[in-house]
Amino acid sequence: MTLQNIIHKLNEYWMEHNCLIGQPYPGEVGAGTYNPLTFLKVLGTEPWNVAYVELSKRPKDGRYAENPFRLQAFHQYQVILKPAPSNVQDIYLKSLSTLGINLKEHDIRFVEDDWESETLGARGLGWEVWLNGMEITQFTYFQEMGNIELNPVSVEITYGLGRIAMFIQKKDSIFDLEWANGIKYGDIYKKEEYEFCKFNFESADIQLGLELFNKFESEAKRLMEQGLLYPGYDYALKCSHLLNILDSRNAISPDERKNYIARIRRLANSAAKLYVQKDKE
Amino acid sequence: MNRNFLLEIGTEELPAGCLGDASEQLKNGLLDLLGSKFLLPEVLKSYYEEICKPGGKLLQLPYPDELKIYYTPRRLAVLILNIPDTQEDKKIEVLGPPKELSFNPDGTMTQAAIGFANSQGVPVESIKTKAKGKKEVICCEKTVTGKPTIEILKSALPDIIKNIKFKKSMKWEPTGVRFARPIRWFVALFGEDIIEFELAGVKSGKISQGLRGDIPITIDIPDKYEQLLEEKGIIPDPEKRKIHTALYELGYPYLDSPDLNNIIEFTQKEKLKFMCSYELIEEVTNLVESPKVILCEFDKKYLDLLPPEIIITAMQFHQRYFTLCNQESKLSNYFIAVANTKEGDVKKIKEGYENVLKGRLEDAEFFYNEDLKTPLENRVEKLKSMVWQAGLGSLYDKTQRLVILSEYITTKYNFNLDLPLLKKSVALCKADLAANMIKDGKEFTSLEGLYGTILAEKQHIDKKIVNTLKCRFLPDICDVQKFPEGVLLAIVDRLDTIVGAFILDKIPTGSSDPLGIKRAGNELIEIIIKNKLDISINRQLINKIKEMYASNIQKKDTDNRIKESDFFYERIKKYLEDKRNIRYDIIRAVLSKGDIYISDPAFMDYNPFNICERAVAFYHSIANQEFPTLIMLAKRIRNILKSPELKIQSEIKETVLQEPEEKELFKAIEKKQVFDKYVENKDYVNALKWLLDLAPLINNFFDKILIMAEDINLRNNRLALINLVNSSFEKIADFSQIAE
Repeated sequence: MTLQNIIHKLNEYWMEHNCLIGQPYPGEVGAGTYNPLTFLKVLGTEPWNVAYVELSKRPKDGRYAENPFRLQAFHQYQVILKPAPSNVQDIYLKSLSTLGINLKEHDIRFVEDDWESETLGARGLGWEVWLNGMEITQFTYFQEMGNIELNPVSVEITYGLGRIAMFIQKKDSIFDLEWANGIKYGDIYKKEEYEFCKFNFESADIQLGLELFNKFESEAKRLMEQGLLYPGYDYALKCSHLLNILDSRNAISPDERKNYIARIRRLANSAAKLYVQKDKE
Repeated sequence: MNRNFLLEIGTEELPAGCLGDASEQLKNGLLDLLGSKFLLPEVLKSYYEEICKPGGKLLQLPYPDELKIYYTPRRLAVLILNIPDTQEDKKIEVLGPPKELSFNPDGTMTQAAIGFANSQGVPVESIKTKAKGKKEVICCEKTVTGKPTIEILKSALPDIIKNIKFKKSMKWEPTGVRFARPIRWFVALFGEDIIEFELAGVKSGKISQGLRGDIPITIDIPDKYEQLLEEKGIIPDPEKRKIHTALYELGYPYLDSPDLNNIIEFTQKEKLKFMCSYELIEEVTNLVESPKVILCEFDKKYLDLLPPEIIITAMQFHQRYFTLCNQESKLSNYFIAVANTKEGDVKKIKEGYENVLKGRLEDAEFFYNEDLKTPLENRVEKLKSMVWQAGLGSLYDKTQRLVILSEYITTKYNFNLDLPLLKKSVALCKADLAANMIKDGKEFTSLEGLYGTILAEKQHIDKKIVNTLKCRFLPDICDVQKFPEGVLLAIVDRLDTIVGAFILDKIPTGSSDPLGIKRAGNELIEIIIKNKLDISINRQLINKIKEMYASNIQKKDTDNRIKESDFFYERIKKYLEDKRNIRYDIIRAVLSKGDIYISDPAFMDYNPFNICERAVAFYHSIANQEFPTLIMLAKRIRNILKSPELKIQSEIKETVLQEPEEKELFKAIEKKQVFDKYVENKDYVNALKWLLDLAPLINNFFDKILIMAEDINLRNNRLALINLVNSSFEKIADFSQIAE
């Protein structure tokens, strides 16, 4: 099964479970959780079911395309079910079956892994799902988002598409994965991966990054003060990615990093508040 | 008639670490209910009484046969046998209105009294009177019919379940019940009947769930629970499961499983044994409900490419594999992993486990090779920008404090050590925190400290420095004869952390100890005592360390002096209890802060080594036949001297002594310098022996002499004599704390 087949199957599966098939965020995000389809929509009381692919960027995780698993940009498949159905674990496991994974043959386990994001002011309880010892999915019952307690509780299922495809296609390196027939993951992304590693670790202009962070932060504040939630939140996301790049350039001390994270969190909190307020109106 | 009871709480996967504690709470909740409702089976009564005593619930008592607890990641269950079907009927007395309101002057009953009888459902003739305090009231006796047990269970079970507390809990459904993970089913049976209740949107029943993908399991009677689950491949009994998980460390044959026997045979042939902690075995046992043990291996080349500690961490920390080692305790490239599956394909699972490990080892290799490129000392500068604890300055600040503190203690106690070596080591002791493996290496962060020494060794840093660094995080190798600098580094690092925690008010309470200072304190005490170091933990020392912090912190110090004093008291107490098996009363006696404590509860002056020596001397003297007499006499003297005006320290006038018994005692105590010499040399065994020899003389003195004599000179002279005796006792311990 090619990677695009896997995505297709998952889309079909979650469509059957009444999910809207969403689209990746057009800007850089660190995880599918940052996409407004998750971050904002789990706030408020309206039911919401969505599934989408996200290209998540984690500059520091890059290994110059030399490590078979670790990348600075990787594909996740994100599902949000709100409220969380009572048989959600079974629904998830069935989705693995549709990918041709025989559940009885393998050791599939839900291993405690609580999730917390200081940047988003978010936390949840859940597991990482192990398939023969390999983490293939992050499974979380959100409790708080943007420092707002959630009611109802949403469940977030984040599939590591690369890991799952490597398992299905029996490949040792993500770059050897068949994305489509005859086209490998490496063909599409290997050069890009290497260049972004160069950029993240060596080339990114630190001074520019520091300046942009301040400007984007002010812009986010200004926009949200005008009640422009989505553009404001967009600038908050830009800040978050800039911080990750500055971090991988070793441009900030751990102490400063904490301060930067707190600044982004304040923006995320404002966005969450604004959303809830608009939702009530 | 009696019936058996079963409650199973079915959940989504609970964290392994909370299972034992949660099931204890569930069991105790159920026993509390049965106890308070007079429904405890006879055989459980003594067990219940034991756990109801203060501290009893913390004891790990063996369960009586009538009580079974079960848990797996997906269930918490309790089985209790032979519970009475209904409560017994009980006669109770009900009090009514006062007598004067109940009877008319002619002796007939008033409306109030008749109303009372009717409301209680008893005939008016049965009404009696009774004294209630100073007044008299009317009363009646009536029989309360016992309730059916199933009704009691039905109304109580939801609360018992809700009252289970977890370190971390969550909400998942509209009623807002909190539990560690979502509850998905209940099996609640009393005999064959379902105990009906609803909690968190889940109705109780008799259907349990098997392994994922299996059909549900119907539990028709409680006592078949374990058997029914086992038939479906689930071992609900944690003790039994542990034996399967760890093959009990590759011991005995498993009759029904050729696979397992092959593993045992292979490991025995290769002479491989387990190399992991009991905690890991316990954790893995609680990560599975249907354990399948699989023997795996990794490429031998990693044994050469990476230090064993890193490989072990890669295997144990995240993947929870059991590492194996050969006869010489060297790491093997074979390991054991435990799957949660009944019918899984062992070959495929094994391949998966091995691949994941390979990925982790490759990542470790990346970090390790990168880290080796930068000399450890070049990382020190980086520590300036790394916070140690928010509010307590940087890691670099910490090493600077450790240098000053090392110098201070070395000078004060005149320790013979190589100070420049110590200073060089202190500078490097946190440098590995700036290395990639520790900073970004996820699971490898737990190697902090050790990793620094690995890098240092590889980078050919002076062996003496490496050993000094090792002592800091390996209290077991702290030997002042071999590594005096290391021992001191281990001590100052812990002292600094402990004082830092008190400055931040991050003081341990119950289960929370944010800076881990309980452990640091325990290790500190052990290092000091084991190396016979004459170091006093007192106010002067603590203040000195606080001074060193002054330039790193802005926070105003809250007054934690009493808590500080209690903290060190507890650490020494724990050492004497756990490591030396000293009786609790002796510990209290040697740790006593005496009268000073009463006037200043924050008083603190502990010399751990000295305290321990005194405790051990007691330990050796208990068998002496004079010991009970000595204790008795010491208490008697202490009682007499309770009033401050009797504390007469004046010189004893020999000429005033009258009776032979007081003269004899005086003659003996005159040679007190022998005793004082023993105390000075910390030879407390002989010091105690000297006091024990004195015991018969003191005894005679008390037998024959009237201390409070009429003659003031005589009286004061005798008081001065027993004051002198008492001051000798106080040099060893507060004898009044010791049980006779």
